[in-house]
Amino acid sequence: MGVVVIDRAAAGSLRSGKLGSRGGSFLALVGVILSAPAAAAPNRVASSAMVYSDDTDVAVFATTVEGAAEVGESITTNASYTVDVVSAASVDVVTSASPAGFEEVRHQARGSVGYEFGEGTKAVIDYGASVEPDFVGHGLSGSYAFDLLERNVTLSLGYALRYSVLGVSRARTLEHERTEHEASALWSEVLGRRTVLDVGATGGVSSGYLSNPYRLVRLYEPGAAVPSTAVPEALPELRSHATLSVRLRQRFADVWHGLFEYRLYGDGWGVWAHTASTRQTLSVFDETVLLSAELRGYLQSGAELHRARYETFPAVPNYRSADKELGGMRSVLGGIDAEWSLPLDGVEALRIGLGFDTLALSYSGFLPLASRLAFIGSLDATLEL
Amino acid sequence: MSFRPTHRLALAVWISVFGPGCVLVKPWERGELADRRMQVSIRPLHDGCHSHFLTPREGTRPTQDGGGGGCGCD
Repeated sequence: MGVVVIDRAAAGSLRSGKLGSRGGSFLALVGVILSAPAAAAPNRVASSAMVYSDDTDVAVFATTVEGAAEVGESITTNASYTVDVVSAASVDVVTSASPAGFEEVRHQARGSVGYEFGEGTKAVIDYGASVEPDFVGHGLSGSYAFDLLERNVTLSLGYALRYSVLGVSRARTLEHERTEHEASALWSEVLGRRTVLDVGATGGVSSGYLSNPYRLVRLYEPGAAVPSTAVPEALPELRSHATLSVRLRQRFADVWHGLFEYRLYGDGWGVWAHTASTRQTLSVFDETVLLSAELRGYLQSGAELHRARYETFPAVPNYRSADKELGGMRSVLGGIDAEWSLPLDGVEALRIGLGFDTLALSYSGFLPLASRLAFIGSLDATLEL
Repeated sequence: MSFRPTHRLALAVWISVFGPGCVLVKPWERGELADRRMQVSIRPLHDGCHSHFLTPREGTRPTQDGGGGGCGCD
């Protein structure tokens, strides 16, 4: 069956940054639940180190440890811990309320339990928490997956709830609350001996304080070069969203496997986004080495309330944001990675992975920064027991 | 009667999803599908790395993969 995967490294991060991206990982968690069939061994220990660096002086180092174990024949468990060390003094930081940039350490932990009721039916409960100087988040999710049509179809249904409180580091108080709900469904169907189709949909609502306490919006008099004042960002306290995704997994040859995916996103603020991606995997050296290449394109329209420049002074719009993530943007990610499977006495396998990616982002509605180029590297090891 | 391209795409998806009776694959024919290279995430830790850094940098929340954290994105 399409067993639910809880990917710690992926879903383990329960927040993102000092911005509306908080909670992204909550939805990511749902997404991970949607991502269906398990790739990892049920009994394993793994660790990874990841680094991100871009040309706007943002650097992130993240490391994750995780373990998974089967308990009896019906129960699977998983736990993970991730720590991020972030250093940022980027141009958009400088244009926000954190002119000196910042450095901080973030901790994230999560655990999940899965129970298989019988052949082809499984439920998973997952809890995660994230603690940072300006953010505390809790996420609880559950999913239920079952097979249909002589096990040619797996239907997965999920629900996730997240509650978080946030503030600004220097104030040392977490005064803002946010709640997020998301329901999801994934239909995975075997189309042939070498082909699987996944069709997924999600719908959700975020409510509470959805602004970024660090962001300022500058107000200008019409035609003025210098802002007259700056006021905090203000966004509606409700945001609904929906997504639809289609994914095709195909075996082209004994040593060549491919994945193609498209996702459409729309929300109540008027943001629309298209994501298209592909991954091609080649097995070499008697399948002891996997080489993968990935290409991903992302195109997003801006929110209706977003303005690159507010020439409204002295009037202050009720809702206001010049945030780059809420404006028009596009990104391209390309990367390659390799995994070596090494024989080891007493264990199933030791897998060592190494990946390099380049990420190029461009913003059409953010005056201080037009583009950003980033490098992402990762090294991981998994011991399958 | 003509269909707009979006309607044609929706129809194609609908047929492929809800018309599995034509393509039932027997259990003994699914060996290749069980290969880990056919999974959505071949290397979860590496895929998590992507999501870890991509999610906070886009205005929508990906519904596959996962991750947040590692922002530094203000």
